[in-house]
Amino acid sequence: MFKSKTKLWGSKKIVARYRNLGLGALLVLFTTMVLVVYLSPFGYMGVTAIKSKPQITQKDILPVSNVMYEYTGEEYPEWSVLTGSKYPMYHVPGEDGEMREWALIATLEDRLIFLDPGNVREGVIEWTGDPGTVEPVVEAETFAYVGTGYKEEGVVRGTPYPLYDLEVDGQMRRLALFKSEGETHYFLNPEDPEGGIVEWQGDLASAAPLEEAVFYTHRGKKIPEVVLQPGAQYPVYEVPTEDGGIQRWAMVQEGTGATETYFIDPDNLDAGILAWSEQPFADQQRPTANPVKRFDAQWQNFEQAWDAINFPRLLFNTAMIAILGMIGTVVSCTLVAYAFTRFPLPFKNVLFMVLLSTIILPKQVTLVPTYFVFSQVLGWTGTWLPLIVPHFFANAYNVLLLRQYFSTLPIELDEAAMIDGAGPFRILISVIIPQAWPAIVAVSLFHFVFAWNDYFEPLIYTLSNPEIAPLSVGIQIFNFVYDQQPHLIQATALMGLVIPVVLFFLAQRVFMRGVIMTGVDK
Amino acid sequence: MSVVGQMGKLASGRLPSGGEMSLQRTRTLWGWVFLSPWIIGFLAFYFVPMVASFAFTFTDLRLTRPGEASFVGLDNYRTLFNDPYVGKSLRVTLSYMVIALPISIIIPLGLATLLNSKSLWGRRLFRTLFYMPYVVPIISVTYIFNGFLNTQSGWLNRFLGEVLGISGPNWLYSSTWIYPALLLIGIWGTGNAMLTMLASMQTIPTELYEAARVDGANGVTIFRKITLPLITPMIFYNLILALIALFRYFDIPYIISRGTGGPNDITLFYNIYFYRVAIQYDRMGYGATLAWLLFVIGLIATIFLFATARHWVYYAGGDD
Repeated sequence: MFKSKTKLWGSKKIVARYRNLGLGALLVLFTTMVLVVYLSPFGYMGVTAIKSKPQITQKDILPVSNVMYEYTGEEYPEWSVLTGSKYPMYHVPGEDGEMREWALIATLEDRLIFLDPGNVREGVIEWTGDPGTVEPVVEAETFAYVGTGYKEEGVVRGTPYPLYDLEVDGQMRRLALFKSEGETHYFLNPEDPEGGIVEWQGDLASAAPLEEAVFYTHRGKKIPEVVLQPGAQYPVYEVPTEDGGIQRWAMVQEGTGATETYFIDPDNLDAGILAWSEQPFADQQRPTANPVKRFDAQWQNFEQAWDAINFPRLLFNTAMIAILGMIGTVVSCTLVAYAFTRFPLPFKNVLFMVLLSTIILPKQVTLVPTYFVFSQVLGWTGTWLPLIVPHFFANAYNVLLLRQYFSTLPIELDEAAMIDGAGPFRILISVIIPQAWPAIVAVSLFHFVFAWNDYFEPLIYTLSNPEIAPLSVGIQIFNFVYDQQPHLIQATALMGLVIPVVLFFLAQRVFMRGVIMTGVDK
Repeated sequence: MSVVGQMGKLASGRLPSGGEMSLQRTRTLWGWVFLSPWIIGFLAFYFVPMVASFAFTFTDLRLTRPGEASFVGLDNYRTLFNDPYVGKSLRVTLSYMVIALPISIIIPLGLATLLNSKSLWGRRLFRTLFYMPYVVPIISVTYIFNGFLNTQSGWLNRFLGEVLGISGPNWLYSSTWIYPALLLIGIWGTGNAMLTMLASMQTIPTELYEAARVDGANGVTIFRKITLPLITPMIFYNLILALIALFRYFDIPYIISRGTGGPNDITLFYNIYFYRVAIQYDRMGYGATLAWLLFVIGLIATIFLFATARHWVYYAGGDD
């Protein structure tokens, strides 16, 4: 009995099982961490593709925007002194009868709002006197003579002379007075100063001097600093308050260190403008107000990139190049691998070595004459032909993979088919290919990915005709044009990898079998 | 097995055609027919271009004016030896290779070992996900890393800055950090090497591991004495592929530096210089000379690797 108990609880088998369980969990954790680091560039790409340009410079990882509150209350205050605006000057009588020159900001029902231009820092003055007693400040309109004549007559160059509207010879004229001798007045014509001096006899009081209103242009800060306009948007913040709670307030004016920050409470507009400072409360750390953010993805980036790059065109080009080349590769490599595995050929091993040695040949060696023939002899530059035709003549990587796979297939099935009278083609199609699907899928996918990724050859052969360029070249051109648009570039790159990745996921089960079983691939 | 084999022999002996000799000849003929795409392809895209390319090295061929090409003797070879950029670009290629070659083996080997562990759950899912970056177009890869390694907004520097408190380098524009950056990009494409090594590891008979465990070997010893030697053929295969890929290295540095080879010519890889001479400067004759120099160097390096293979690559059953 004792013995069986130890066996149940302390047996090596059970200890080993729990140890394996723990080891498995640890390994999964570790592998997941490695994977997350390994795939993190995808994360960067996906996130950047749906950001706007300002969002990229923000610290947040996800695309976020501030939650905004639209102010719907009344305009506050009913008046404001805006920088750069002009306000009319008025003579305002003081209590001691003294006249002051103030700028009129606003006329309210029960009071007038003035600003003393000589003392802007004091702020506005709410004046409740009789509006009938204030008078606009005016000054005479003048004309300054800049010619060289009339020195004897007493015209001084550059001196402003007041303008009058008066009747001369039955006509109303606007003239500048420069000299009066008793009842005789001498004028210049501002519209034609060199046209001579106009003499006029009469009482000047009957003539109307020209006057213009005087204005004050505000140049300092706007008064008051906080102005609420209906319809304006204000960012919402989470503001810690003195009672220890957190309020959601909209920031209307950000404070800078010494000055206070002003908020409004969207739920309680009657509370008015709430001043808040970052000064620490009695027993708390320095509080900070944090903006409330919401997830705000810029899905239109894809649309924008799609249109800008003419994505459908590039997609069509790439797919056509990839599919046509894929057909060529699969057909030719299957035939060649079939020849190497099933037929008695003289110097078969030597031929196979020659095939393999082409792998180590740098493309550059054959590139120059091949390019020469394609461009000069055949005139194929600017067409897809240089990117498709060579794939109809087999390549070492894929022949190797298919050969490895074919040689694991039992030859007896071939022989059985042969007895039934099947020819070599028939055997290939109805015996070999049905068994070799995983390897054929692997080859197709390898070529598809290769063609989708290929950059150098499409670059040199399609450079002269952007209309037929595949995605890889198109994205590169796009990048040259839109250098400062990282979000659009990432959106484009993301769209470019969707199809190969989806294909890979769809075919991966068969594909992995094809690769793992042969143990060799491109 | 043997019974089936005998039946097979019996079957072929019973074939109703006119004698053993003519059957053999018909089959050989069929073999040539099936082989013909490659024979034509080899002649058209490898053999003839190679010979032609070699002939070009004695001319001043320009693609824009091919009719004016003339024989210049050994002029291109003289230029080759006096061209400072040849040495420079070769040095760039080789020094990057010295760093990248070991990494291109170690990283996928590590990942394959991890994914081969019997205790790891969900191995198939992990295998697929680790392989996935391999299918991402190289152009997309380059743009992903262009942003990922951005000095200010890139995730790597933000991680270094915010988590470790280090201010990260200017990866792509610093002559010190551009190689590590290129290596990071290269590591992303190791899915294929990982997969082949993993496949090779899975062919190792479990009896070997069990026997080693019985003898009291620990995990590290088993890896060093059994796993590693038995997958050396696949390591060798990947080493050759990586070596050739590094001699052909072009796309990534070309896109990142926009063909300038910057910063400070530190990414002026041999093929970027070749592209500049042959395509941009339109000097095909000299370009062919550059290509042949690369071919000779690559061939020597490959032969050297094959020569060392005898000492470290394990072939079961003597040879293949």
